[in-house]
Amino acid sequence: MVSRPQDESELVERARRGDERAYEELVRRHQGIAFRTAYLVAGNAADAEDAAQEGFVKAYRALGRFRAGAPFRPWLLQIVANEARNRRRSAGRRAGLALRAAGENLSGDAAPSPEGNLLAAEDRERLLGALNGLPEEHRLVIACRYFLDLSEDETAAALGVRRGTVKSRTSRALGRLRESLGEGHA
Amino acid sequence: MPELEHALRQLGGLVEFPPEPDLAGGVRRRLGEAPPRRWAPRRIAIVALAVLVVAVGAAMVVPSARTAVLEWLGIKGVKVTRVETLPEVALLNDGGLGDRVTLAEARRRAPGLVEPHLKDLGTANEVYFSAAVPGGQATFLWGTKRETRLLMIQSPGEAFAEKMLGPRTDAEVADVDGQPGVWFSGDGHYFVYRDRGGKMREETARLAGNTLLWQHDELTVRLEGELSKNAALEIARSVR
Repeated sequence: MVSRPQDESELVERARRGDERAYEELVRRHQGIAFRTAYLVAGNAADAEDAAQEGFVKAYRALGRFRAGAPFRPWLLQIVANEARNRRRSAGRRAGLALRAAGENLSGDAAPSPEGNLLAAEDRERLLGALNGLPEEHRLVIACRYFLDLSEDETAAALGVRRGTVKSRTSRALGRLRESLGEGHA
Repeated sequence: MPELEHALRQLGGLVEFPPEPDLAGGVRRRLGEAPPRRWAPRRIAIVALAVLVVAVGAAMVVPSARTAVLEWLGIKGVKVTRVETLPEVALLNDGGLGDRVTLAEARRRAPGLVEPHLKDLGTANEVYFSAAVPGGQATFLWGTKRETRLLMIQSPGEAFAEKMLGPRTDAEVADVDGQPGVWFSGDGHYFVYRDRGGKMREETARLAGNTLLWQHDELTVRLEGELSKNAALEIARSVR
Protein backbone atom coordinates (compact mmCIF):
# COMPACT_ATOMS: atom_id res chain seq x y z
CA MET A 1 0.00 0.00 0.00
CA VAL A 2 1.35 3.35 -1.02
CA SER A 3 0.83 6.14 1.48
CA ARG A 4 -0.71 9.36 0.22
CA PRO A 5 1.77 12.22 -0.16
CA GLN A 6 1.08 14.75 2.54
CA ASP A 7 -0.29 18.09 1.50
CA GLU A 8 2.28 20.76 2.20
CA SER A 9 0.02 22.97 4.26
CA GLU A 10 -0.81 19.93 6.36
CA LEU A 11 2.88 19.26 6.91
CA VAL A 12 3.46 22.87 7.87
CA GLU A 13 0.60 22.78 10.33
CA ARG A 14 1.90 19.58 11.91
CA ALA A 15 5.38 21.07 12.11
CA ARG A 16 3.95 24.18 13.77
CA ARG A 17 2.58 21.89 16.44
CA GLY A 18 6.05 20.48 16.99
CA ASP A 19 5.97 17.42 14.76
CA GLU A 20 9.62 17.15 13.74
CA ARG A 21 8.93 14.27 11.37
CA ALA A 22 6.57 16.47 9.41
CA TYR A 23 9.22 19.14 9.25
CA GLU A 24 11.79 16.62 8.12
CA GLU A 25 9.53 15.82 5.18
CA LEU A 26 9.38 19.54 4.38
CA VAL A 27 13.16 19.70 4.51
CA ARG A 28 13.45 16.80 2.09
CA ARG A 29 11.01 18.41 -0.30
CA HIS A 30 12.75 21.77 -0.35
CA GLN A 31 16.38 21.09 0.39
CA GLY A 32 17.33 21.03 -3.28
CA ILE A 33 15.99 24.44 -4.19
CA ALA A 34 17.13 25.85 -0.83
CA PHE A 35 20.68 24.64 -1.39
CA ARG A 36 20.86 25.87 -4.98
CA THR A 37 19.50 29.27 -4.02
CA ALA A 38 22.03 29.53 -1.22
CA TYR A 39 24.75 28.44 -3.61
CA LEU A 40 23.94 31.20 -6.07
CA VAL A 41 23.94 33.78 -3.32
CA ALA A 42 26.89 32.58 -1.25
CA GLY A 43 29.02 31.50 -4.18
CA ASN A 44 30.38 28.23 -2.78
CA ALA A 45 29.04 24.86 -1.76
CA ALA A 46 30.24 24.81 1.85
CA ASP A 47 28.62 28.11 2.78
CA ALA A 48 25.54 27.17 0.82
CA GLU A 49 25.12 23.96 2.80
CA ASP A 50 25.62 25.80 6.10
CA ALA A 51 23.21 28.52 5.06
CA ALA A 52 20.55 26.07 3.93
CA GLN A 53 20.78 24.03 7.11
CA GLU A 54 20.73 27.12 9.32
CA GLY A 55 17.84 28.48 7.30
CA PHE A 56 15.79 25.34 7.85
CA VAL A 57 16.51 25.42 11.57
CA LYS A 58 15.58 29.09 11.86
CA ALA A 59 12.46 28.56 9.79
CA TYR A 60 11.34 25.78 12.10
CA ARG A 61 11.82 27.97 15.13
CA ALA A 62 9.94 30.78 13.42
CA LEU A 63 6.99 28.66 12.29
CA GLY A 64 4.87 30.28 14.97
CA ARG A 65 5.09 33.50 12.97
CA PHE A 66 4.40 31.82 9.64
CA ARG A 67 1.07 32.89 8.22
CA ALA A 68 -1.19 29.88 7.93
CA GLY A 69 -2.07 29.08 4.34
CA ALA A 70 0.75 31.15 2.85
CA PRO A 71 3.15 29.41 0.48
CA PHE A 72 5.99 27.88 2.44
CA ARG A 73 8.71 27.96 -0.21
CA PRO A 74 9.17 31.73 -0.69
CA TRP A 75 9.19 32.23 3.06
CA LEU A 76 11.80 29.53 3.46
CA LEU A 77 13.92 30.84 0.58
CA GLN A 78 13.96 34.29 2.11
CA ILE A 79 15.40 32.91 5.34
CA VAL A 80 17.90 30.70 3.57
CA ALA A 81 19.04 33.47 1.24
CA ASN A 82 19.54 35.82 4.19
CA GLU A 83 21.78 33.24 5.77
CA ALA A 84 23.67 32.86 2.52
CA ARG A 85 24.14 36.60 2.18
CA ASN A 86 25.52 36.80 5.69
CA ARG A 87 28.09 34.17 4.92
CA ARG A 88 29.09 35.72 1.63
CA ARG A 89 29.53 39.14 3.16
CA SER A 90 31.38 37.93 6.18
CA ALA A 91 34.08 36.40 4.05
CA GLY A 92 34.11 39.17 1.49
CA ARG A 93 33.34 36.77 -1.29
CA ARG A 94 31.43 37.57 -4.41
CA ALA A 95 28.49 35.78 -5.91
CA GLY A 96 29.00 34.57 -9.43
CA LEU A 97 30.74 31.34 -8.63
CA ALA A 98 27.67 29.52 -9.83
CA LEU A 99 28.17 31.07 -13.21
CA ARG A 100 31.81 30.19 -13.30
CA ALA A 101 30.92 26.64 -12.39
CA ALA A 102 28.44 26.72 -15.22
CA GLY A 103 31.18 27.86 -17.51
CA GLU A 104 33.42 25.00 -16.53
CA ASN A 105 30.64 22.58 -17.06
CA LEU A 106 29.55 23.94 -20.35
CA SER A 107 32.96 24.08 -21.83
CA GLY A 108 33.79 20.58 -20.68
CA ASP A 109 32.63 17.21 -21.83
CA ALA A 110 29.65 16.87 -19.53
CA ALA A 111 26.69 15.51 -21.39
CA PRO A 112 24.15 18.23 -21.89
CA SER A 113 20.48 17.65 -21.31
CA PRO A 114 18.38 16.97 -24.39
CA GLU A 115 16.95 20.43 -24.01
CA GLY A 116 20.43 21.84 -23.83
CA ASN A 117 21.26 20.35 -27.16
CA LEU A 118 19.06 22.94 -28.75
CA LEU A 119 21.53 25.63 -27.78
CA ALA A 120 24.65 25.45 -29.88
CA ALA A 121 27.92 25.22 -27.99
CA GLU A 122 29.13 28.48 -29.47
CA ASP A 123 25.96 30.24 -28.40
CA ARG A 124 26.30 28.88 -24.87
CA GLU A 125 29.75 30.34 -24.61
CA ARG A 126 28.62 33.72 -25.84
CA LEU A 127 25.60 33.76 -23.58
CA LEU A 128 27.61 32.69 -20.57
CA GLY A 129 30.22 35.30 -21.34
CA ALA A 130 27.56 37.97 -21.57
CA LEU A 131 26.05 36.82 -18.27
CA ASN A 132 29.39 36.94 -16.57
CA GLY A 133 29.75 40.49 -17.75
CA LEU A 134 26.60 41.62 -15.95
CA PRO A 135 26.60 43.28 -12.53
CA GLU A 136 26.03 40.88 -9.67
CA GLU A 137 22.43 41.92 -9.03
CA HIS A 138 21.57 41.28 -12.66
CA ARG A 139 23.32 37.93 -12.75
CA LEU A 140 21.52 36.84 -9.62
CA VAL A 141 18.08 37.78 -10.83
CA ILE A 142 18.68 35.98 -14.12
CA ALA A 143 19.99 32.91 -12.31
CA CYS A 144 17.01 32.82 -9.94
CA ARG A 145 14.44 33.28 -12.68
CA TYR A 146 15.94 31.15 -15.44
CA PHE A 147 18.35 28.74 -13.79
CA LEU A 148 16.35 27.93 -10.67
CA ASP A 149 13.00 28.68 -12.27
CA LEU A 150 11.87 30.64 -9.25
CA SER A 151 8.69 32.67 -9.53
CA GLU A 152 8.86 36.45 -9.26
CA ASP A 153 7.63 36.25 -5.68
CA GLU A 154 10.20 33.62 -4.79
CA THR A 155 12.95 35.58 -6.49
CA ALA A 156 11.92 38.69 -4.59
CA ALA A 157 12.05 36.75 -1.34
CA ALA A 158 15.42 35.23 -2.14
CA LEU A 159 16.98 38.53 -3.16
CA GLY A 160 15.36 40.54 -0.39
CA VAL A 161 13.71 42.99 -2.78
CA ARG A 162 10.19 43.81 -3.87
CA ARG A 163 8.46 41.99 -6.67
CA GLY A 164 8.47 45.13 -8.76
CA THR A 165 12.22 45.33 -8.37
CA VAL A 166 12.53 41.77 -9.66
CA LYS A 167 10.52 42.74 -12.72
CA SER A 168 12.49 45.86 -13.47
CA ARG A 169 15.83 44.25 -12.67
CA THR A 170 15.05 41.28 -14.91
CA SER A 171 14.03 43.58 -17.69
CA ARG A 172 17.22 45.60 -17.41
CA ALA A 173 19.34 42.47 -17.22
CA LEU A 174 17.74 41.03 -20.34
CA GLY A 175 18.20 44.33 -22.10
CA ARG A 176 21.87 44.40 -21.24
CA LEU A 177 22.26 40.84 -22.40
CA ARG A 178 20.66 41.69 -25.71
CA GLU A 179 22.95 44.66 -26.10
CA SER A 180 25.92 42.54 -25.25
CA LEU A 181 24.98 39.79 -27.63
CA GLY A 182 24.24 42.39 -30.27
CA GLU A 183 21.81 40.44 -32.35
CA GLY A 184 18.21 39.44 -32.75
CA HIS A 185 17.08 38.68 -29.23
CA ALA A 186 14.34 41.24 -28.97
CA MET B 1 20.48 31.12 -31.00
CA PRO B 2 16.85 30.77 -29.90
CA GLU B 3 15.01 33.64 -28.29
CA LEU B 4 16.95 34.95 -25.33
CA GLU B 5 14.75 33.88 -22.44
CA HIS B 6 14.34 30.44 -23.92
CA ALA B 7 18.09 30.26 -24.40
CA LEU B 8 18.65 31.20 -20.79
CA ARG B 9 16.37 28.43 -19.61
CA GLN B 10 18.33 26.01 -21.72
CA LEU B 11 21.56 27.33 -20.30
CA GLY B 12 20.10 26.89 -16.83
CA GLY B 13 19.47 23.28 -17.62
CA LEU B 14 23.17 22.87 -18.25
CA VAL B 15 24.40 24.46 -15.07
CA GLU B 16 25.92 21.87 -12.84
CA PHE B 17 25.33 22.76 -9.24
CA PRO B 18 27.30 20.98 -6.52
CA PRO B 19 25.72 17.73 -5.38
CA GLU B 20 22.69 18.38 -3.23
CA PRO B 21 23.53 17.59 0.38
CA ASP B 22 21.13 15.65 2.57
CA LEU B 23 20.16 18.31 5.04
CA ALA B 24 17.37 16.48 6.82
CA GLY B 25 19.65 14.61 9.21
CA GLY B 26 21.58 17.68 10.25
CA VAL B 27 18.43 19.72 10.65
CA ARG B 28 16.84 16.97 12.75
CA ARG B 29 19.84 16.93 15.07
CA ARG B 30 19.78 20.69 15.37
CA LEU B 31 16.11 20.71 16.22
CA GLY B 32 16.89 18.43 19.12
CA GLU B 33 19.21 21.02 20.56
CA ALA B 34 18.05 23.86 22.74
CA PRO B 35 17.54 27.11 20.83
CA PRO B 36 20.31 29.66 21.22
CA ARG B 37 20.05 31.43 24.55
CA ARG B 38 19.14 35.08 24.50
CA TRP B 39 21.81 36.93 26.35
CA ALA B 40 20.69 38.94 29.29
CA PRO B 41 21.57 42.59 28.98
CA ARG B 42 24.43 43.62 31.16
CA ARG B 43 26.60 46.59 31.49
CA ILE B 44 29.41 46.67 29.04
CA ALA B 45 32.46 48.59 30.00
CA ILE B 46 33.43 49.72 26.57
CA VAL B 47 31.57 50.70 23.52
CA ALA B 48 32.94 48.27 21.00
CA LEU B 49 32.31 44.82 22.22
CA ALA B 50 34.66 42.36 20.72
CA VAL B 51 36.38 42.71 17.44
CA LEU B 52 37.12 45.76 15.42
CA VAL B 53 38.34 44.94 12.03
CA VAL B 54 40.09 47.51 10.00
CA ALA B 55 40.28 46.70 6.38
CA VAL B 56 43.03 48.48 4.61
CA GLY B 57 44.46 48.31 1.15
CA ALA B 58 46.82 45.46 0.61
CA ALA B 59 49.82 47.72 0.37
CA MET B 60 48.85 50.06 3.17
CA VAL B 61 50.19 50.21 6.65
CA VAL B 62 47.57 50.77 9.34
CA PRO B 63 47.73 54.46 10.24
CA SER B 64 48.84 55.07 13.76
CA ALA B 65 45.72 57.12 14.51
CA ARG B 66 43.53 54.11 13.89
CA THR B 67 45.75 51.89 15.93
CA ALA B 68 45.44 54.39 18.76
CA VAL B 69 41.68 54.21 18.54
CA LEU B 70 41.79 50.46 18.72
CA GLU B 71 44.04 50.56 21.73
CA TRP B 72 41.88 53.17 23.41
CA LEU B 73 38.87 50.94 23.01
CA GLY B 74 40.74 48.41 25.04
CA ILE B 75 39.56 45.55 22.93
CA LYS B 76 41.39 42.36 23.48
CA GLY B 77 42.47 40.48 20.43
CA VAL B 78 41.94 43.23 17.94
CA LYS B 79 42.47 41.88 14.52
CA VAL B 80 43.72 43.95 11.64
CA THR B 81 42.72 42.40 8.38
CA ARG B 82 44.05 43.43 5.04
CA VAL B 83 41.47 43.30 2.29
CA GLU B 84 41.49 45.03 -1.02
CA THR B 85 37.85 45.89 -1.18
CA LEU B 86 34.90 45.96 1.13
CA PRO B 87 31.99 43.64 0.44
CA GLU B 88 29.10 45.04 -1.50
CA VAL B 89 25.93 45.52 0.47
CA ALA B 90 22.81 47.42 -0.37
CA LEU B 91 21.87 50.50 1.55
CA LEU B 92 19.23 49.53 4.05
CA ASN B 93 18.32 46.24 2.48
CA ASP B 94 14.82 45.25 3.46
CA GLY B 95 15.83 42.16 5.34
CA GLY B 96 18.18 44.02 7.59
CA LEU B 97 16.06 45.98 9.97
CA GLY B 98 13.79 43.23 11.17
CA ASP B 99 10.06 43.57 11.79
CA ARG B 100 8.25 46.89 11.73
CA VAL B 101 6.95 47.30 15.25
CA THR B 102 5.46 49.88 17.54
CA LEU B 103 7.68 51.42 20.15
CA ALA B 104 5.67 49.57 22.80
CA GLU B 105 6.33 46.27 21.09
CA ALA B 106 10.04 47.05 20.75
CA ARG B 107 10.19 47.87 24.45
CA ARG B 108 8.32 44.72 25.33
CA ARG B 109 10.99 42.74 23.53
CA ALA B 110 13.88 44.82 24.82
CA PRO B 111 12.84 46.71 27.95
CA GLY B 112 15.97 48.85 28.17
CA LEU B 113 15.38 50.83 24.99
CA VAL B 114 15.22 54.58 25.14
CA GLU B 115 12.90 56.62 22.93
CA PRO B 116 14.86 59.24 21.08
CA HIS B 117 13.17 62.59 20.63
CA LEU B 118 15.31 64.83 18.51
CA LYS B 119 15.12 68.58 18.67
CA ASP B 120 14.62 69.07 14.95
CA LEU B 121 13.27 65.75 13.78
CA GLY B 122 11.07 64.72 16.69
CA THR B 123 10.33 61.06 17.28
CA ALA B 124 11.24 58.41 14.74
CA ASN B 125 8.93 57.82 11.81
CA GLU B 126 9.39 54.06 11.93
CA VAL B 127 10.64 51.54 14.47
CA TYR B 128 11.98 48.09 13.63
CA PHE B 129 13.05 45.22 15.80
CA SER B 130 15.32 42.35 14.85
CA ALA B 131 15.66 39.29 17.03
CA ALA B 132 18.38 37.95 14.77
CA VAL B 133 20.96 39.92 16.69
CA PRO B 134 21.85 38.43 20.06
CA GLY B 135 19.90 40.34 22.68
CA GLY B 136 17.75 41.97 20.02
CA GLN B 137 18.19 45.22 18.18
CA ALA B 138 15.85 48.13 17.68
CA THR B 139 16.21 50.59 14.83
CA PHE B 140 14.62 54.02 14.94
CA LEU B 141 14.29 55.48 11.49
CA TRP B 142 13.64 59.08 10.50
CA GLY B 143 12.34 59.50 6.99
CA THR B 144 11.40 56.40 5.03
CA LYS B 145 13.24 53.26 4.11
CA ARG B 146 13.63 54.65 0.62
CA GLU B 147 14.74 58.08 1.76
CA THR B 148 16.29 57.65 5.14
CA ARG B 149 17.48 60.74 6.94
CA LEU B 150 18.76 59.21 10.12
CA LEU B 151 19.02 55.87 11.86
CA MET B 152 19.49 55.17 15.52
CA ILE B 153 20.19 51.55 16.32
CA GLN B 154 20.01 50.41 19.92
CA SER B 155 21.41 47.04 20.96
CA PRO B 156 20.75 46.00 24.54
CA GLY B 157 22.42 42.62 24.26
CA GLU B 158 26.04 41.79 24.40
CA ALA B 159 26.95 41.29 20.81
CA PHE B 160 30.31 40.88 19.27
CA ALA B 161 30.56 43.79 16.94
CA GLU B 162 32.66 43.95 13.86
CA LYS B 163 33.26 47.12 12.03
CA MET B 164 34.83 46.96 8.64
CA LEU B 165 36.47 50.12 7.51
CA GLY B 166 37.71 51.01 4.10
CA PRO B 167 41.14 52.52 3.67
CA ARG B 168 39.72 56.04 3.59
CA THR B 169 37.52 55.77 6.64
CA ASP B 170 38.55 57.60 9.77
CA ALA B 171 37.80 56.57 13.31
CA GLU B 172 38.30 58.84 16.29
CA VAL B 173 37.46 58.82 19.95
CA ALA B 174 34.33 60.67 21.00
CA ASP B 175 33.08 61.49 24.46
CA VAL B 176 29.33 61.37 24.93
CA ASP B 177 28.62 62.87 28.34
CA GLY B 178 31.37 60.83 29.85
CA GLN B 179 30.37 57.65 28.07
CA PRO B 180 32.87 56.19 25.62
CA GLY B 181 32.20 56.53 21.95
CA VAL B 182 33.86 56.49 18.59
CA TRP B 183 33.13 58.54 15.49
CA PHE B 184 33.48 56.96 12.06
CA SER B 185 33.56 59.16 9.00
CA GLY B 186 34.70 59.14 5.43
CA ASP B 187 34.12 56.28 3.05
CA GLY B 188 31.54 53.61 3.64
CA HIS B 189 31.91 51.04 6.33
CA TYR B 190 29.98 48.07 7.55
CA PHE B 191 28.55 46.91 10.79
CA VAL B 192 27.94 43.26 11.35
CA TYR B 193 27.59 41.08 14.40
CA ARG B 194 29.31 37.91 15.36
CA ASP B 195 27.91 35.60 17.97
CA ARG B 196 29.94 34.04 20.72
CA GLY B 197 30.55 30.97 18.64
CA GLY B 198 32.20 33.11 16.02
CA LYS B 199 29.47 32.76 13.44
CA MET B 200 28.17 35.74 11.55
CA ARG B 201 24.63 36.34 12.67
CA GLU B 202 24.17 39.76 11.28
CA GLU B 203 21.20 40.43 9.10
CA THR B 204 21.58 44.15 9.19
CA ALA B 205 24.79 44.72 7.31
CA ARG B 206 24.41 48.02 5.59
CA LEU B 207 26.43 50.72 4.05
CA ALA B 208 26.54 53.36 6.68
CA GLY B 209 27.22 57.03 6.32
CA ASN B 210 29.02 58.79 9.11
CA THR B 211 28.41 56.92 12.31
CA LEU B 212 28.65 57.69 15.98
CA LEU B 213 28.88 54.61 18.16
CA TRP B 214 28.60 54.99 21.91
CA GLN B 215 27.60 53.37 25.14
CA HIS B 216 24.41 54.57 26.82
CA ASP B 217 24.04 52.76 30.09
CA GLU B 218 23.36 49.18 29.07
CA LEU B 219 22.73 50.01 25.46
CA THR B 220 25.14 50.17 22.60
CA VAL B 221 23.84 52.88 20.31
CA ARG B 222 24.73 53.74 16.76
CA LEU B 223 23.68 56.88 14.99
CA GLU B 224 24.01 56.71 11.23
CA GLY B 225 23.41 59.40 8.67
CA GLU B 226 24.93 62.26 6.79
CA LEU B 227 25.83 64.14 9.93
CA SER B 228 28.69 66.21 11.17
CA LYS B 229 30.41 64.96 14.28
CA ASN B 230 29.09 67.87 16.32
CA ALA B 231 25.54 67.31 15.16
CA ALA B 232 25.79 63.63 15.98
CA LEU B 233 27.20 64.37 19.43
CA GLU B 234 24.41 66.83 20.09
CA ILE B 235 21.83 64.19 19.26
CA ALA B 236 23.65 61.57 21.29
CA ARG B 237 23.78 63.81 24.34
CA SER B 238 20.04 64.49 24.05
CA VAL B 239 19.19 60.81 24.43
CA ARG B 240 17.84 60.19 27.90
